[in-house]
Amino acid sequence: MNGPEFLLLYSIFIAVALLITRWFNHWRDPRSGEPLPAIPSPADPYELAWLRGGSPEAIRLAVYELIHADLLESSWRAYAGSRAGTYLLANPQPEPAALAPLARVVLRACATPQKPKDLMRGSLVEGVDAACRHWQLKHEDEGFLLSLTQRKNGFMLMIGSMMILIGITYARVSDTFAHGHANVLFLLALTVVAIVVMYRFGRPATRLTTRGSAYLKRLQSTLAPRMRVVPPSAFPRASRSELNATSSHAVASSNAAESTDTHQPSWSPMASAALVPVALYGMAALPGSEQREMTHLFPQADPKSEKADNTSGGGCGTSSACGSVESNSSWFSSDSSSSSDGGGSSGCGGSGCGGGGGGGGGD
Amino acid sequence: MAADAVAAVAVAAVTDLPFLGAGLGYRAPLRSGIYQHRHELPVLEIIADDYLNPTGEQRDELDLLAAHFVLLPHALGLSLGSADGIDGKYLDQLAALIERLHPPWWSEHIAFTRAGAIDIGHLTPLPFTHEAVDTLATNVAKVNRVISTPLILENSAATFTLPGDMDEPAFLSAVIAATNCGFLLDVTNLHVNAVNQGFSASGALDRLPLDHVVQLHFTGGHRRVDLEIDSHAYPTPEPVWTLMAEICRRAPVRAAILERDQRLPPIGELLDEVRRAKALLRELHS
Repeated sequence: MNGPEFLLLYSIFIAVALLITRWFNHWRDPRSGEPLPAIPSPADPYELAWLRGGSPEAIRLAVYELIHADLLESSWRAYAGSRAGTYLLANPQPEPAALAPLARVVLRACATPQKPKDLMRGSLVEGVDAACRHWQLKHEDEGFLLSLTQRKNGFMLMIGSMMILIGITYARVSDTFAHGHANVLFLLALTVVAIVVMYRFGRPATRLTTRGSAYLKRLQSTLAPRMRVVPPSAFPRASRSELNATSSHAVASSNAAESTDTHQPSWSPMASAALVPVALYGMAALPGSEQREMTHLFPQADPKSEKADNTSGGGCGTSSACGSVESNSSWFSSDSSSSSDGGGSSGCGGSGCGGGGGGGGGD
Repeated sequence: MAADAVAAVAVAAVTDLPFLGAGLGYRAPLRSGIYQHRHELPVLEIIADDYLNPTGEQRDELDLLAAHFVLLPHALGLSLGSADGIDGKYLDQLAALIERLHPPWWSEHIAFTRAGAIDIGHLTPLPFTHEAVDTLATNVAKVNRVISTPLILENSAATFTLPGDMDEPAFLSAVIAATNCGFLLDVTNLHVNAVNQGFSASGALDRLPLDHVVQLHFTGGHRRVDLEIDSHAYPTPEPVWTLMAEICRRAPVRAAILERDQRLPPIGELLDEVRRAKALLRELHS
């Protein structure tokens, strides 16, 4: 076969391989044309965050919420035997009853100082994965998520196609050199381009199917139509002194119709609703200074690199008060005691998902 | 189906409308709050005029809303009180919208917005005359021949009254009797008119066709000099709540809609008002 004939055949093979991988992607998303289910109401921000980016997103949302409520603090500190860095530590106070189960798990994990990145790779994330298994199943049933098998198959198909391409190229290059020629540059360039294109269009990297992405988009357009900055005032946040107050009146004044528990933060359904934009857009929904603070905690969730379909599960919100990084920076040095509530587990309830306790837990 | 038969069906249906509860007038800035609290808002009222000639995006918005809520179209520009009849194009567009949404009923005002070929651009009260009643009846009959979905008619707010043959309660009763439509009683309008014109709103209830009341509107206005302005910009005032409670005790109300157009507060404040209305309606049905 002469050069031009080979290149023609090779190009046809590339096109066919690309079509097959594209077709496979469509085939594994057969429900993309079906009507989407109703918008959940009340929407659980943790489920939304989880849908968008899996357990890491849900954990980041929990950290964001906890810092907002002054239940969690971040500061730069060096602990014995550990490198200096930013740590998250739960404030020593009783857990509010109104906490979402997943936030409760994260809070317990931070009963001992935790590096933010460790939250994402320790037993906490595994526990949250396991506890949120019902969301996985639910959204797989809805056709929103790819199962592990589907992702694996898609990945294998893409890799297989690439290997065949490389194999053909190798054979042709060897044959060319064997015949004393060296005009293989165009073939090599074509192979590189084909592999890049195949990776770009044939990779099964998204956890969301086309249908899942459409649903997420619908959630974004209905529950938080504009990717807006979440104003700190949207969170009726109890101050640290309020949370620690012995008088129930102090909290009741900002916590209409809630219990008289003195340590109950002033959360309301509105506070939960205010979490929704962060759940749906991640830290991109937050003001710049707060984005920077949250990026400081979770650099991998930088909104600049964040996409709505979440191929990497990255991105989360941060908060104004979330911040408090600077203002609270001295707290660790003066008060490193931790909650003794331990790191129990919590089920995935109706309003949030709890994971098996991990990370911190207990004194 | 003969036109008269269609009209008869429309009239008969008014007496058998579903109970929808308390809801909110849909306004785009409230969208996210409305969806987030869908479980508390079974019914929304939309301004029909916003969707008469919808763009693709508006159609999508409407379809999505219709998939999640009972939607009640509320028309502004049909001008049922116009002596020169109904605008055919407007009516056709309205009919298409209602056909698309399949609401249990829809509503328009006892007012006119067009005189001759001139669009006044504002809901203008009618003189309380027998001639105005006849005009309304003629126009409503024409509308009923095109739209079989039950029409309910709303009393308007008026900062002045035109010379007429009767007072407002008598006029509204005559209109409802002549058109055989349901009655959308805007409680705030009743209150505003009572204050501005110096009559007793609660006394007027005895003379209004309460047995035809299908829906209520409520909201808050503001006071300017000696005049109550129905601006839809403030929380519902206590006198309106008192009137609503009385109406709910005496009328077969199927729905109550909070109309807020200006100075939109956080959704939570609106929901508080909707919950209060819901409680009044619950008393009615308990």
